[in-house]
Amino acid sequence: MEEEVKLLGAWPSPYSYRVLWALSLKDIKYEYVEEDLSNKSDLLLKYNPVYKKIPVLVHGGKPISESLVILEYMEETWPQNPLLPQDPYDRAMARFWAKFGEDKSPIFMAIFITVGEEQEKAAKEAKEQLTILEEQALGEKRFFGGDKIGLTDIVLGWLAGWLDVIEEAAGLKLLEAETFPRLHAWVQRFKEVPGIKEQLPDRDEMLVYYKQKREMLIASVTP
Amino acid sequence: MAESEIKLLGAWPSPFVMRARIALNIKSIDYEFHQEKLGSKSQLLLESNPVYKKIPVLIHDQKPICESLIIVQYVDEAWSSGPSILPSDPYDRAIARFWAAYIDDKWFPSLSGLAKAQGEEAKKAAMDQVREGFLLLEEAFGKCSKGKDFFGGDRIGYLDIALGCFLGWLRVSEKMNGVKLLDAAKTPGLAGWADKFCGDDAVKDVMPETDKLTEFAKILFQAKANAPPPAN
Repeated sequence: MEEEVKLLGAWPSPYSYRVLWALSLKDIKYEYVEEDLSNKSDLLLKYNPVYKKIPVLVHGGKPISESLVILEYMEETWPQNPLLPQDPYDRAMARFWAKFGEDKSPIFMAIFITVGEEQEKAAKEAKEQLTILEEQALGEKRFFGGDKIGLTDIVLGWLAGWLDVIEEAAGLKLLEAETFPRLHAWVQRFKEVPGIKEQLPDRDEMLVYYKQKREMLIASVTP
Repeated sequence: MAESEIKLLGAWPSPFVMRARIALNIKSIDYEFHQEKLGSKSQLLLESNPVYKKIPVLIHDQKPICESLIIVQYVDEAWSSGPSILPSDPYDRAIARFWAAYIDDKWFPSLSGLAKAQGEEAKKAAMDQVREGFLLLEEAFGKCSKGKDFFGGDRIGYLDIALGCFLGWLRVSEKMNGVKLLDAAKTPGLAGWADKFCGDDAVKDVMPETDKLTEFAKILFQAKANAPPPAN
């Protein structure tokens, strides 16, 4: 018997979208609950007492938190349209790059929350990480996962749907096509994948959202 | 099967390296241990882990695997006929992965925060954080162990390894600060678990002795204190 699947998420969180994409790619029926993060529901607090964060996947009443943990759980529970390869070494590599993406995301967030010299420094660091992704993680492959998208693509998916909006709101460009031709091509390809393309947040709405956040941040750091 | 070449690049004081060693021990895998020297990185390390240049690195038939928990999962999957390291049920696996991530993202930083804390107030705040973490982990232990000895049940598993590797450094912290951080009165489950973990066959030969580790810690902190400030 199929057990009920519920996702507690919040627009426009890329972490939320990772799970939405996996649900879509694996064709899983679910109920979506949009959380107001300024007023967290009792349900969220009950299901994720440790972090009180989204996304939380609830399967048959049992909650799972942390997007990477959720993705691995989904992969094991619903093996159709696999997100991870079979070979243990290839799986280790997929996990390595997914973790790399996670560990380096504060560097990208830094360009959004800083100004002036600090922002320039953050941009330089961010470009170094993009170079590593371009040359070592992606290389000549169509997707990080190979011929088809996989766990790493999903975890790095924010680069495709969010980075350019964040760049525009923050007033600088990181992922230039001339400097990062492979990543640039991957971004276009990723956004066209069935299952992903129907589940991308609206760019205009996101721009309004991130511009507002950026204005608030600048107001708080400017003397 | 042809004999495969297995190397582990590491260092005896590193809890992260210990995770890999425990996993290999659980599966009874023979491997060559390459001890990295403090303050310098071997050519093999730089070539095998160009992204982070850190230990542990497992090299299996010349293919490197980096990041301690990824190595542990790899060992579990590549040697699937040996005793399992991760639980078999997907939900139990998710719980194990969740708490292992918590340990790396929140709990261990609070322990290393204590080592770096300057002044009484900062030290106390850091100690409180470590103890609060233990309260959460005590609850997790109750749920995961279901009355048995380990997070993994009858045998040590993924989450035991993820937390247990820090017990040596925990004891050093307790000794150097003259406090009890893992308190049997507040967290009896974890206190009992810690002793059993350290006595486990897969662990006891790779868990450094507290005295030796304390001496090492003193050298390490001295080296850091003497080192010139990093260039900007």
